[in-house]
Amino acid sequence: MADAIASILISGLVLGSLYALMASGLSLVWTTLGIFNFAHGVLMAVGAFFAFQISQSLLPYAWIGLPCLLALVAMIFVGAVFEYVLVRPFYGREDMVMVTIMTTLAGLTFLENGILAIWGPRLKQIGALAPGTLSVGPVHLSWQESLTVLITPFVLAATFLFMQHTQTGRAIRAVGQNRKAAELFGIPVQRMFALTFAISAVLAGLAGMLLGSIRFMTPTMGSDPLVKALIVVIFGGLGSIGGSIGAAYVIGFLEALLVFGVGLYWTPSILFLIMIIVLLVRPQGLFGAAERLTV
Amino acid sequence: MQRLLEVRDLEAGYGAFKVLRGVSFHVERGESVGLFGPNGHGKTTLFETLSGLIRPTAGRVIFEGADITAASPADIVERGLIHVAQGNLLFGRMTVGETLALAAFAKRARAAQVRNRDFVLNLFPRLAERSSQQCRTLSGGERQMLNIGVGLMASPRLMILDEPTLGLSPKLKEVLAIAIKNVADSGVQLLVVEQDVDFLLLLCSRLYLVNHGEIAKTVNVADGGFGYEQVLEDYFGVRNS
Repeated sequence: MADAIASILISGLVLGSLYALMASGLSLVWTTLGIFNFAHGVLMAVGAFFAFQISQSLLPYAWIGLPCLLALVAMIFVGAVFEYVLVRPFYGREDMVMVTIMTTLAGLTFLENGILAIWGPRLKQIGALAPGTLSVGPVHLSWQESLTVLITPFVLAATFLFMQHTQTGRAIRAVGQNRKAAELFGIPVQRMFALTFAISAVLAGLAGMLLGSIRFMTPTMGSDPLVKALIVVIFGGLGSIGGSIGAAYVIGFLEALLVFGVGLYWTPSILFLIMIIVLLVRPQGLFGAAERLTV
Repeated sequence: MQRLLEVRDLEAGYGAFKVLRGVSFHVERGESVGLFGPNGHGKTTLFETLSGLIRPTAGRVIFEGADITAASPADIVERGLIHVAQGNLLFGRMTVGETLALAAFAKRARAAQVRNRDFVLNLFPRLAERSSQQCRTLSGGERQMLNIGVGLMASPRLMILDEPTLGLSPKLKEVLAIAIKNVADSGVQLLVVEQDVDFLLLLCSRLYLVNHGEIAKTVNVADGGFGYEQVLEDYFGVRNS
């Protein structure tokens, strides 16, 4: 029994970390631009495959953390280019939300198939940040899992501090809340949009790299986390990044519990059922501010 | 000596609908200028064109000798032409303190941030009290104070105020009018739209009447008998006694 509880806890924490990284990026783009990025999941795969390729061909003997760091830098450009090509041409259009559903879906297809074309269908894995397992009493977990659980809060806290306490972070929030006023402040709005995409791509890429050494990498490795991140963002309250992070861990634990209780097969449906019930009781989401939906 | 702001034959509008139909006026160095006239005749459009939010279809805007007709809003703010929009709600989920800090976004304003902040909080002690409150919890008057404070944080060379006392109680109106007078006396040049012409007379050396997207009349305050009461009667049908 202690075994089961421990494994549910660990699995919940790992999943929660992953979803928190994904959901915070998704939520950041949503609150700043008011659009939903369907390609957010595949950015996870892009990050993982970048790290894989860099570690294979550039730094074959280096510790895997180094290629991961380089791949994260590359993700800044991926995010900015993504915004420039697929979102920027449509700013100011009344149907921007609809158009960007199409363009981000196009981006998703393009990147997924691009990864498939470049790296092929064979399953891949990147090395663990630290090999081996950690055993505390009856609990066994891999170092990679523990590092995932440990790194994530630091990354999220850094993101949070950046958004709250730097002039650039404030500017990003300002652009999301009142674009015209932000322009009159002299804030370069489009640059903030590009930066928002860059940050969210880095967060997704990091999630991909962490997952890429726990499970196998595939071009579609991000699609399930994206659906979960969407649940998380709605569940946590649209427009609240803090709420998304909290909800990510709640969903992570729920999923771990459900996988143990009812099995992998029924877990997604029951997750959706729980989400629907929560939204019926609290339409603003678990942590969302009520007034956001009425605006 | 070169003028601070020169607007020549400016035309702008929304789609095919032309709101400004060749507006020309100027602001000399050291003076404040007022605009008045009926609502819906292009004053706000004029300001949004000056601040780069709307692209003019014809005409030129020259600020401190530089042509800023096609400049971006960020560039215009950097040059010190600051537009305080009408009834701006700012950022609902940001605190007053954060908003003031963010308002010093331009490079030039960053250097003077501490001095500007002291000036603003001295001018509106209420903002200091509300510093950690979110903007959406502010009253109309406090919001307007914050708007003016935000404009000042940007180190303006010319600050555009679009009906700064609109919709406020007479008492608050007076508080803000006094504050705006203080701002002008401190050396910040203003370009103000107001319905209250008496207030403009106190503040400005020249007034322009904007009507049907054009400058219908220029009033030099120093000349004394300019007949603005006649203008009021013509355009608003009221006699200012």
